Order: sequence, then C-alpha cells, then structure tokens
Amino acid sequence: MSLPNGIEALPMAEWTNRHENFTQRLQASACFKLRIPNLPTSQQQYQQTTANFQWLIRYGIEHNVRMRAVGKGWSFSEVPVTDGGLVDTLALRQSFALQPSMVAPAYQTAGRRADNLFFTECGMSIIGLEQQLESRQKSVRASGASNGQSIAGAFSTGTHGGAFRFGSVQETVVGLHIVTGPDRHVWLERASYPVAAPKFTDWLGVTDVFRDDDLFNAALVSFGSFGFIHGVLLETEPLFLLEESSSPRVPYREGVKRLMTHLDLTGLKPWLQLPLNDPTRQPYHLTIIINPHQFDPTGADPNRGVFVQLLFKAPYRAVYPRRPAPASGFIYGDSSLGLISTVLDHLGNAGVALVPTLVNRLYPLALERNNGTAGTMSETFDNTNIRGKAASAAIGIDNRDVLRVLAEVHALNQQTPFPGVLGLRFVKGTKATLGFTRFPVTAVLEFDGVEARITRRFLEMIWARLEILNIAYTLHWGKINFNLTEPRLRKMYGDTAVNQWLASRHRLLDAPTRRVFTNPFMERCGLDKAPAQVPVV
Amino acid sequence: MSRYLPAIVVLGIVSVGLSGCMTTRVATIYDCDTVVNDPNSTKVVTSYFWGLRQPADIKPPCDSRSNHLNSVTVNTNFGYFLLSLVTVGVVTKQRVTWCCAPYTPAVDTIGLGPATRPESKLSLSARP
Repeated sequence: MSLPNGIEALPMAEWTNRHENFTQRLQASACFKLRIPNLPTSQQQYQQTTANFQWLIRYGIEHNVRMRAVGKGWSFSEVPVTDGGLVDTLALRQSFALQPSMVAPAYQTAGRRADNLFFTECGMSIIGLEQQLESRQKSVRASGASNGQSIAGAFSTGTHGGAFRFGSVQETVVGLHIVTGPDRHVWLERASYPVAAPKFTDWLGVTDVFRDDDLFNAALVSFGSFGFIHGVLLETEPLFLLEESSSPRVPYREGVKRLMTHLDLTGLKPWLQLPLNDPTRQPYHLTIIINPHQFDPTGADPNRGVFVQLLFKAPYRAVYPRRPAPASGFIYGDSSLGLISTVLDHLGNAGVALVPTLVNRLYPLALERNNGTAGTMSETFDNTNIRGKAASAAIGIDNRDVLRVLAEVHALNQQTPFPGVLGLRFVKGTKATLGFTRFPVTAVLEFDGVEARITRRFLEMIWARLEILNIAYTLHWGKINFNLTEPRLRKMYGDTAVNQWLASRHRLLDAPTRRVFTNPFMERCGLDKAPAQVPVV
Repeated sequence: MSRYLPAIVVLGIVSVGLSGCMTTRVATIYDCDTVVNDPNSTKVVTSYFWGLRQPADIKPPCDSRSNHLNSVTVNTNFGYFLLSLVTVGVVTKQRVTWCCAPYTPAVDTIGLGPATRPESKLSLSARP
C-alpha cells in the first residue's frame, strides 16, 4: 500500500496503556503513525497533515474499520482507544504564534492580546508546549498535576489540575481545527468568544467555520469522537511563577473544612505561611492528600491530619528558591505495584490485612516537600512519579459535599481497606458540555493506589454509597470508570446536556464518519446514539 | 503433589509478579514521539557465550530531522534470569525499549507573509 507523505504504517496487534491496567486488541493493518510531512513551508506541512487525516478517515470508511487518535496513553479507562486501529499523532508538533491580522478584531478590541494566542498541533506534549511558551516568556494557564500528556489528549478527557479560580485544561482552549470527514475539516470557536480572523481560517484552508458555543463546548471534551483534532488554539498568559506553601500534617478541623467547602484560606494561618494580603500573589492551585489509614475525621489527633498544598501565582522573576532536584538513590521499581497487586489478589483476606501497613509505609512517597520553593508551570508540574501498574479513579463532586463524602469514605475504609491514598483537588466549573468538572467548584476526589480486586471492590462501594445517599457525582473520563453506563451518565449530566452533545456530534460528522470514530466505550455509555432530535445544519 | 502446592503457588506469584524484575532507564526528557508501549520501539536481544557473541547495535528509526533518543530502558525479567542461570550465562536475554526525541520545528508565525487561500485541494503525494 502506498502511503501519503507523512503517514507510516504502525502495526500493532494489541496495545497496553501507560499504567498497564488494560490491554486493547487492535487491527494491526489499521494502525498508523503521522509525522510532519517533508514539504518546504510550514503551511504546506500543516495542510498536508490535514489531508493525511482525511486520508485516514477515508481508509476507515472504505475498509469499515474504526479509528482513533491516541495520546500519551495516560488514561486508565478505554475511552481513548478502539477495537479498530490506533493513530499515533505524537510526532505532530508544529506550532505557531499569530500576528494581529490573524485574530478577530473583537478579540483585540476587548483588550486581549494576539501574542497570548498560540496555535499548536494535537501531538504536542504539555512539557513541549511549556518549553516553547516559557522560552517566549509565556505560560500555559492550566495543566494537570504533571506534564506528560499530549495537549489534545489532556483536554479531550478533561484533565483538571487544581486551578480553583480558573478551571481545567479545556478552559485554555479557544479554538479547534477538527478533521470531520474525508472531504471536510472545520474551525470551531465560541460565538461568545470570537478569536480567529478569516485570514487565519483561510490559512488553515478549512471547509467550514462554526462560531457556536454549544458546538464548541461539546467538542472540547469528546475524547476523540468528534473527528481528528488537528490544531488547537490556546490562550496563554505572561510567564508566572507558582510559589508553594504546604504542610504535611494539618489537623482535620474547622480551618481545613472551611478551606474545602468555602475555599476560605484564613483558617490555615497556624499551619501555613500564606501571602494573603499581597496583591501580587493570587491563590492558584489547591491540593489535599489524605492517607485513609492515618486519618482522624474528628480532628482530635493532629498526627492524623491531612497534607495541604497551596500554590500562589506570582509574577516571574529570574531569581527564586527552586524546587529541589529528585533525590538520587533507589526508588520503587516498575514492577513493584504490579507485584503488590498480584500478592493482594492471591492472598485474599491475609492480603487485605496487610493493606494499612503497606499504605502507611508507601504514603510518604506521595508527598512532595517543597514548602517555600517556587517554579514555572513546567518546573512545578513535571513528569509523574508513578511507575508500572497502578490504579486511579476520580469522582467530581460539589465542593460543599466534600465533608459528607469524606466521612463515607472513612467509614467504608474501616470495612474494606483501600490500598492507596486519597487526593483532593479543587477546580472551577467547566463550560465543556460533558466536562466532569461540572460543579461551580468541583472537588475532584482521587483514589490512587494499587490495581487489584480489592481496589475495584472499594471503588464500587464508594460509587454505590454516593448513589444511595443521592450525592451528585461525576466520573473522570480518563480514570477507572467501569461502572459508567448510559443511565448513570444521563443522571450525572442530565438529558439536556447529553442530547446536546449527541446533536453536536451529528452536526459535525456524517453517518459513515461517525462509525469510524465510535468505540466500545461510547457504546457502553450510549454516546454512539442519535439524539432525540438532530438539528439540520 | 499437594505438599509442593504452596511452593508452586509462591513461585507462580513471584514469577508473574516479577515479570519485569529489574529495569534500568536512561532518560533526558520524559517525552516521546511515539505512543507508550509501542511494540515497534522495543526489541529482545540475546547474547551468547558470556558476551562473546553479541547483538548488533540497534538503530532506532527516529525522525531523521532530529534523530535523537530521549530515553532507553533495559529490562531483565525473571524468565531471562532463569535462562541465564540454567545455561550458566551461555544465553542471556534483555528487553531494550527506546523512545525517540520528537522532532519539534521552531515556532513559526502565521501572518508574517501574505495569507493566501490554496486554490485547489492538496493532492496526496506518494511517500518518498
């Protein structure tokens, strides 16, 4: 088979995700890798890649195979894979600044600057993006808590971070270039937030331009099912530092509780040095980590408190106390978590009894001790330190429900010990239609631990308990979410939002193309269906 | 048979659990231009007779425009260890995985030159 300039065959019969908690069977002949084509100008390269995406869609339709662009493979769920062919886009890393003539006049007359806009291809990693931006004295506005994802994979699955006054990664996206068919590729942006001038969409050579809030918000978190996302227009800001204040043992008393439910920082004063009256420092990122086996929900035992980390955004300066380099020496091995998983699964009740001791020994590894240091985004949220087989689930809840949920988790942990730790991050609500950070302030409660049967049992108990108590929650798309079904999805987001998402997908993709971009995960969640009424374009 | 069962179970757990029992990784930047666990970026190599006969150097097919690696991982599992032990080092196996550095062109600026709409659709050229 003769392949276009920029497409390579990538035979893979199966593929395992980064955290090794699932393996997906594939059609080897339908897997491809895209590279930046060898052509003289960057525009020709970019447009050839668009044509290559169209070639792939045509291939999928003609050969009746499903396809999906895969990112860095960080997801714990099967949301970003397919039983057809995977398309590796990680070598697509062209990026562009925009001259003011490329930017909508309305954007600039509102006082926004064209030089804060940055256009990049889908395969760009967060670390690559940060390197390019920081060398230009700019910062990404949000990332996850590490920087190994691809930009398209990160926002398509709702990667959230902990920016409680800003939001998730998808909030940084203001325009999308999506290849939606063998002869179609479109530009999407919000009508309420116009960004691109006609000269820019002409440069892309798109077949359609949509300025539509509903369509854009639906496409933001669509896990690769709205076509191939080729280009992403991001809004950035001048380079800043994140200054850390943290404490490993803050008693679970009124100060922490008001922090979680009202984002009130003042109760932390006895425990953390906080620049609360400094107008040049704004609170940005909040993380709380809890060892469920050393947690006193009454707050009486100060040694059984929680880890609190607050990052304050400050203007960049050349000299600052930097985060220490990782210590040399030994670290747990790539196989350690897998070994623990195997032991737990085979030892039954004896293994369960080992869990608290195991977690208490490993818990210090989850804590970073960088109080008083500072860093840019790339220095603060660097590569993940999780190696090998791991499990991670996360629920989104209204931050006002955190205390109730923690009490339930604590009670269930007494019955079935969870082989892992809890993390809480707080994120401003998203505009994305199916963004799981959908509450005004979403508390993302993470369960990070060993991939084992006991872990899944514990998660099922948590999910069931929340439903019995009628506490609204969502599930992270990219984390363990094997209980997600169509009724549950519709309960989480509501029929209006789900139908609006489905209608948007139908507006953008015709039936043959929708089949290419449908995967078993979507079928399980009813996201492959037609909406009740599909608007005619 | 039954008295050996616990030992067999323990051995089974250990051999399964330790399927990648020793890993050494050299990494510059944790960023690859291919998807993680890409079987096309890994190779099992074999040495014979205590290294007297060794595999040829691996030439990873990285993008020629950058042609650099970001990481190399060498993995020895329990089975390979057992093979070396049984053959007294005559046969030694290792799994080598590499990660190419992504080719990242310099940031271009759209709008510096005259912006023109392509007059016709791009044709798909044959791969060189």
